[in-house]
Amino acid sequence: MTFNWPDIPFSGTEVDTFVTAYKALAQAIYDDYYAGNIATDILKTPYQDTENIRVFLENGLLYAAFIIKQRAGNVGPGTDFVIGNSPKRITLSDAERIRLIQSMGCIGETTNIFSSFQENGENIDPEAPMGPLLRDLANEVTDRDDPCDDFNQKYNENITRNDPDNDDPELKNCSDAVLAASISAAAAIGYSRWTYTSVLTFFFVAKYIAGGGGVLDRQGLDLMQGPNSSIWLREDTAKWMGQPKKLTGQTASAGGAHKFNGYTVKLVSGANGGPRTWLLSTTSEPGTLGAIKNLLGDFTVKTDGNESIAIDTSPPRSSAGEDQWDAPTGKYYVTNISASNIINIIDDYDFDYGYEIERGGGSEPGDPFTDDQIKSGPRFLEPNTTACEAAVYDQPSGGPINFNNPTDKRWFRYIIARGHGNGQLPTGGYEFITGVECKHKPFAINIAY
Amino acid sequence: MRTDYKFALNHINLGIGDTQFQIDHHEQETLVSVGSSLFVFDLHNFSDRMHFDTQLSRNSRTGFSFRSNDELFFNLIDYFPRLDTSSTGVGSTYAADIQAGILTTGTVTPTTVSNCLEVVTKAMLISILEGNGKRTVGIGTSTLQETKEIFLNCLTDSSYDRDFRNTSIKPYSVGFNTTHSTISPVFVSRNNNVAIVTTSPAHGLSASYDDWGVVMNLNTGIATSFNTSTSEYPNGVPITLVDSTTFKYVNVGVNTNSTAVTGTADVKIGWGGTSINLHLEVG
Repeated sequence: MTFNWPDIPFSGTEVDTFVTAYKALAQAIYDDYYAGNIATDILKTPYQDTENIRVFLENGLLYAAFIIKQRAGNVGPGTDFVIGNSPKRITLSDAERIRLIQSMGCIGETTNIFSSFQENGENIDPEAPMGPLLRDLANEVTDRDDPCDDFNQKYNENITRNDPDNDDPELKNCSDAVLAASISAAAAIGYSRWTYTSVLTFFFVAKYIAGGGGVLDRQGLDLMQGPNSSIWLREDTAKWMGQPKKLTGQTASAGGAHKFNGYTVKLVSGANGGPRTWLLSTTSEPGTLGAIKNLLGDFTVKTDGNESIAIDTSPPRSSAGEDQWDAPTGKYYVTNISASNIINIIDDYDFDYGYEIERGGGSEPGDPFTDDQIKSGPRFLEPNTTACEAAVYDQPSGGPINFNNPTDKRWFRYIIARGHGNGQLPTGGYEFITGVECKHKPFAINIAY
Repeated sequence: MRTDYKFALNHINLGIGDTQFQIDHHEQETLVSVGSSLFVFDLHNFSDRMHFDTQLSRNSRTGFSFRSNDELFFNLIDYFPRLDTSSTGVGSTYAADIQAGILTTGTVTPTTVSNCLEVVTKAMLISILEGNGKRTVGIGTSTLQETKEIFLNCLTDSSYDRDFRNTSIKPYSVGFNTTHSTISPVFVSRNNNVAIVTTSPAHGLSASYDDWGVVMNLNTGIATSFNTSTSEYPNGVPITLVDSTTFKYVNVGVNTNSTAVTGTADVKIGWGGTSINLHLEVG
C-alpha cells in the first residue's frame, strides 16, 4: 500500500525539501510496519495498527509542512486571518456538511458552538460495550484522590481472613456487580475470529469471580461463547509458537524481543523425541484485538512432537532464569508448526494479587486441585499485607499503580485483590472463608485436542 | 471513514474556542457564514504548543481522551479501532468484520484522533529536523534507520511497568525542555482566567516568535496560584507577549488585582516560529 498524500498548497525551497523528506520517512516507516519489522507491542496502543499509522502519517503532513513554511519566513496563504486566505480549502460532502451543522448545534455564539461541537462530536455511541455496571464501577474505583486510604475505607480495611463475621454487604454487592458486568461486557463485544480472546478474557474473569473452580476443558471453553474458541486458540497458539526471532525493531533491552533468549518458547521436555512440552510466553505479543496475551499470559503447550525445531547456538550459556539454555548447546526454537501439532493447552487461571493454585508434588498446572492448594498470590508479601498493597505495582522502575488514575486500566487489579481481602491466606485456610458470599476462586485450564 | 474522524484528521475542531486563541487573536472568534452555502473559518494549532507530546499521551497515558465510555473499555483491553475500515491489504479481513457488524460497537472520539495525529506529526518533525526541531527548517543528518528509531521512540509506551523509551536518542537526548532564559516577575494579576505578568527588567523576548512559554515559580501567598506544574506542562505554558515588560497566559483562578511578587519565570521555546496558527476554510 502507498499513501494518498494531500496536496500541499504552498511551496518554497525549505518546505519542498521537508515534504520530500517527510514522505520518504513515512513510506519507510509504513513499509516496516507492513512487513512486521516493528515491535509494535512496545508502542502506545493507538500506534500499533499498520493502517492507523498510515492514516496519521498521511494527515500529519499538511500541518507539519505548514510549520516549516512559516518558519521559513515565506509569505503566502494562511499567514493572516483573512477570510478566503486559507492555505487549504476543505470541501465537505453534503452529508459531512449536515454533520458539521448538527455538531455545532445551530447556535450562533462561539462558546456554545464549541461546546456543542465537542459534545455532539464525542457522544457518538452512547451504548458502550463496557456496559453500565462495569462502567460505573470503573468510574467509582478510578475516582479517588489517594489510592490506598480511600481503597481501604471503601473496601473494608478491617476485613481479614478467618473472620466469621466478615459479611460486608458492600463487598458482596461489588463482587456481584463485577461478575454481572464482566459477562455483560463480554456479551457486548461480539464474538468473532478477531474478538474471541477479548470476549473470553471477561468470561474467565467472571468465572474466577464466581468461584466455581474446577478444570476448564475444551467443551467448557466452547460453551462460553461458541464452538470455534478452542479451534482459534489452537491456531493462534501455533502461530505464536512459530514466531521468528526478532531481528529488527527494538532491542531486547528495550523490551521488543521475545522472552526466552529472543524466542517465544522454552522447551520443558521432549528433547529426545516423542511428545514435547513447551512453555509459551506471550509477553511480547502486540496487544491488539485478538491477542492471547491478555487471556492466558504465559502458559504450557504440549505437542505431538512433529513440529520442526532447531537449536540457536548464539546465546551465551546460562543456567538460570529466562535466558537459560534448554538444549545442551544452546536454545531450542520452533521452525515450523501447525495447529494440529498441538495436543494440549494448559494453564492455571490465578492472580499474583489474588488467589493462586499451589503446584508441586506431582500436581501440575491444568490438573484438578483441592481447596487446600489455594493460597495467596505472591503479591501478598506479608501476613498483614492489605488488598490494596497487593494490587499496587511497585517495580523499582515504576512505582505504585494508583487505582485513582482513570487513564490506567490496571484499576482492575484492585477488584481482584479486593475479592481476596486483606491478609495472607494461611495454608488450608480457603475453605474457612465464610464471610464472603461471592468468594473468588482460581481454576485450572486443560484444553485437549 | 467516519465523518467525525475526517473532521479530526482535517483539524476541524473549532479550536478557536480555546482561550489561548482568543488571547492570541484579540477575541477573534470562529466565523460561520450561512448564505447560499455554509462556510466555517477557524484556526488550528497543537493542543500542547510547547512539548514534544500531548497531555493525553504524556508519561503513562496512552492517548485516549476518555470522553466516551468506549475508550475506558478499549484502554482496558489494549485496543484501538481501525479508523479507516475501507482500507485493503493487511487487516482487510478484520475491516470486513467491522463492516459486517460483527464488531458491533467501538469508536474512539474525535479528540482522541486529533491527539494521535498531533503526536505523530510532532514525532515526524523531531525525526526529520536537525537538533530538537525547534525554530529550524534544516533537515537533520541522521540516517533513515536512525530517524525511524526516533519516530518510534516518540510513540513508545512509557507506563509504570512498561517504560520502553530509549532516553539516549531524540526526543529525550536533545534537551527539549532547556530553559532559554530566566526572567523576574514583579507584578501579577488575573482577570477572566488570564494571568498578566509584569517583569523587571524587561523580558527581552522577541515578538517575532509566537512560541514562547514559561514555567512560573513564584514564592508566596496568592502568587503561588500563578505557578505552573512541570508534571502537567514539562516545557511550560504558552504565553503571549503584550509589550517589552508584560506577557499573559491562560491561568484558571479567581480574579486578582495587581500584586507585587517575587520569584522567577523560566522561559521555554515551543513549536512555533513566526506563527503556526493554521487558518482553515471549511465549506
